[in-house]
Amino acid sequence: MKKHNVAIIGAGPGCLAIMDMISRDQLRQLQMHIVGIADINLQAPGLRQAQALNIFTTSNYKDLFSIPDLDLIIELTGDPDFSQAIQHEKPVHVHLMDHIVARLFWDFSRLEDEKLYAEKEVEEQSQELEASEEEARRQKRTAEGIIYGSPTPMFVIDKDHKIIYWNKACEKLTGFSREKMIGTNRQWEPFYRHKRPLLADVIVDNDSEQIKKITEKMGLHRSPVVEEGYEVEYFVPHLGEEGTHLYINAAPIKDDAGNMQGAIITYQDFSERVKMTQHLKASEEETRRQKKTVEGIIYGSPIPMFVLDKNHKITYWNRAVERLTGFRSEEMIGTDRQWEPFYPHKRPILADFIINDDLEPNKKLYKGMHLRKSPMVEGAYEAEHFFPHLGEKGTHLYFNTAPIKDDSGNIQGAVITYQDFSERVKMTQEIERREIFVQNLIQNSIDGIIATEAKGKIVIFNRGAAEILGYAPEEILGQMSYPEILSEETGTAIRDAFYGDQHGPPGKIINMEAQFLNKAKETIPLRLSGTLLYEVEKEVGSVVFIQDLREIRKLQKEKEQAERMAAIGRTVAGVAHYIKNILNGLQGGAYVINSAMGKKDFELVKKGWGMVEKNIDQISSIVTDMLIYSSERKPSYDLVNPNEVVAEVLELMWERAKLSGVVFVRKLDPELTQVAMDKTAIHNCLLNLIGNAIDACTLGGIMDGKGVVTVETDKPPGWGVRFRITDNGIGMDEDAQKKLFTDFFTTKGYKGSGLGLPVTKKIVEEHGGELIFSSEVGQGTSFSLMLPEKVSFQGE
Amino acid sequence: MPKKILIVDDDPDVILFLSTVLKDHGYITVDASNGREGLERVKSDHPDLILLDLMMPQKSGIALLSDLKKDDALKEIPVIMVTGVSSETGIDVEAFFKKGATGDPERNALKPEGYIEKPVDPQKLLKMIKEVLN
Repeated sequence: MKKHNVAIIGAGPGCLAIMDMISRDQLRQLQMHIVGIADINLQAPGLRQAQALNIFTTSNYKDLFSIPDLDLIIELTGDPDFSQAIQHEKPVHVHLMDHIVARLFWDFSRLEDEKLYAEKEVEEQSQELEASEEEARRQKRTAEGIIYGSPTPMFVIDKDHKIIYWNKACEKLTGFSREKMIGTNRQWEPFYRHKRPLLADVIVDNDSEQIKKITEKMGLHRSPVVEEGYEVEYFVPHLGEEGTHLYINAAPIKDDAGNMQGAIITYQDFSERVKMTQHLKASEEETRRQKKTVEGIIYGSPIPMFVLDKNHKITYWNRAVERLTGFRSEEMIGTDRQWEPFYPHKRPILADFIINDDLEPNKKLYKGMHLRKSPMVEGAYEAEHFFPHLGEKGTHLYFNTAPIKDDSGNIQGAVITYQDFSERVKMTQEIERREIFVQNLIQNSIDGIIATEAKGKIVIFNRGAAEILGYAPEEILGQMSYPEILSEETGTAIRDAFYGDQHGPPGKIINMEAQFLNKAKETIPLRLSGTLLYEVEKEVGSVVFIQDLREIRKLQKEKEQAERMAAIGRTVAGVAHYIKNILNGLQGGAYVINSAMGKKDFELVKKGWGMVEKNIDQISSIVTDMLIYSSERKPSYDLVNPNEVVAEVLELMWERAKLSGVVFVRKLDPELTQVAMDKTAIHNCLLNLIGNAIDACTLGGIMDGKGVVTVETDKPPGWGVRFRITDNGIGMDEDAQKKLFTDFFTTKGYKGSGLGLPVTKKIVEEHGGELIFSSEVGQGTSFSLMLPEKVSFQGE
Repeated sequence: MPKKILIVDDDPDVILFLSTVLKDHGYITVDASNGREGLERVKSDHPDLILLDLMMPQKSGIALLSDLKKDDALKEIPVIMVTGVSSETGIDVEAFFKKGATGDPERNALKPEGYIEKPVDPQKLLKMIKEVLN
């Protein structure tokens, strides 16, 4: 409609009415815009209204003519002449509505208003009707809203199988839009390649035959929640990328009269769930696999172990624990017989207490079993115990019980591991046994044994040491150190001996003579051996072994005495024979004298008497030998030139040598000076040795006059003199050499007493000298008799 | 004609004793102090019987006995061995003389006509000499 710019002349009440009218709704469509108002009365209500509305006002109506684009002038003065005048004066293109037309216009407007009112009445009534329809629509919309807003894919068909709803979730599920589907019967399309009835169609048709078929083929079943509804699971291969696993619920829609109106179908996409299930299955598989692995670990483990669940039932019982207990896993798993291998009566084991979390009040059951918290596993305990019931001789076990907790920290069971300690305990016992053995050895040794730790404190002081030194071990052990039981110089001497090599290699002392102080501060002569103790090159102590020399010397003397007495005893027979021979000689002498006396042959008497004398000498000689040998005597020393003694002896032996066809060779050192010796005793020794040498050359007559006995003297370093008597006689075999110094051993039959060499040896030793020999059968024998340079007075 | 007896012994006391016993009973005695001298005396003095000591220096009694019994001119002279007691010498003299020194009783090369142990009992010796000489 064309826009009209309107100016009004005459601003009385008519003006107000027109202004009101024009501004009213119904005429707004006319698009009349008041652009100016003129009145000669500046107080006219129309002017004032116009001024209020910001409309142009003037007292000169001609001013209005110049308003641009003015279309219409409404004259409301009621003056026809004035109206005429305006007609003439107005611009040509501006139309004039005089007050009569304006009155008509207003009336018409009033009529229109009334009509509008009547129409309004009608409309209000119809609006009420519409409201109830609206309610129905709202309800429908609500239902639709539910349908459309639901995240569950669903669609509804009416009794003519036309789709009436197809919700957003269904759109999403199928990829078919509502616009395409509603009003059609293409509901099959998203699900099948070829047209066929869906479950919804079957329900709408109430086709019981088909329902039965689907029930049998696909497992269709009555819905537990929707009346008369059915449910089925179905995998739709060509829905979605990988096909879709659907759970379908279909229910009929009936009106109040029970007439079939359609069907509603809801879907649940099971694919996710199935995927979830499959994932779940996979993770279950993984769990099972892990469980298998754990089982493998448990069963393969060489450590005996078993597992209890929170109901105290055995869930694992590995091969090692089978071996340990002799109970098979088949008989144990699933039972609560875990106590059986270990105890004679049913009782909870440590694991049972841990599972029940009631170990604390039952701790007394583990007295003496070293129950303690495991340092490795939180909440775990370990203990050790000898189970007399287990194994043939009982078994010493270390056992560890750890709780198994779930993520929330609840105890789900316990795992029990064992270590068989029997071997270790046996070893420990063996070590203890040996320790005791060694202790006994130390304690009961006759030798005194004293050991110190690094700082010199005495840590071993055995009975032997206690007896020698007169202390009780308690007084010494850990209390005293060496200086308190040694004289000062002995302490230094022992130290020097340990670190030096004069008594064995450094670190050791072998047979050193030392003086200790006993408790009464008396000096005790000791023979001491010892060693420093090292641990990785660090000196950690010392041990010494001491022997009481007083005791040893006493024992030695007693032994020597006993040996002599035994020798004398042994000898009696031999001596008896020797004396018998002498007696025979005496008897022979007596016979000769008797015979000579009868014949008055004094020459013969003399000879017979010589015989008697000789035998008397022999008796004298053996008695002397026996006295020397059987008694303790000290040499009575004189300073003698050894060569003089040799000369005297050779003089005496001269005739005998001549008779035996033996030649003497002398090699005497003219430089020899006087040596201290018991002259008579050494004289006898040389007689013995030279006599033996002659006999060696003549025995059995083998030498036949070629015997040579060489007698030498010289002065080897360290000795006063050496006499050497060498023969080229028969020599001695090993057996004879061994028996050489044995009392009364002789190879000379009735002619030898067997005392010569033992007596010689004894005399030499009493001088502190030495008697050595070498001999070879058929080659001869050599004896060397050495006398010391300086006389040491041995013994008491 | 008194019988001549050679005494061979290294012990002059034994010679003195035995010669006194034998002279008192009508025998003539000569003596030697070892085996070698003994052999010379046998050859020079032609004794009717020899008393021979077993153990001597310079040719033992055994060696002399061996020489005598090997010599056809001398082997008929009877020999009485004078020995130490076997329990003291360690030699089983009796068995030794029964078998002879060769160990072959058939050959009897070293078998003396008699033997007597020391100490010598004069009566026993005189009886044995009488038996051997007859």
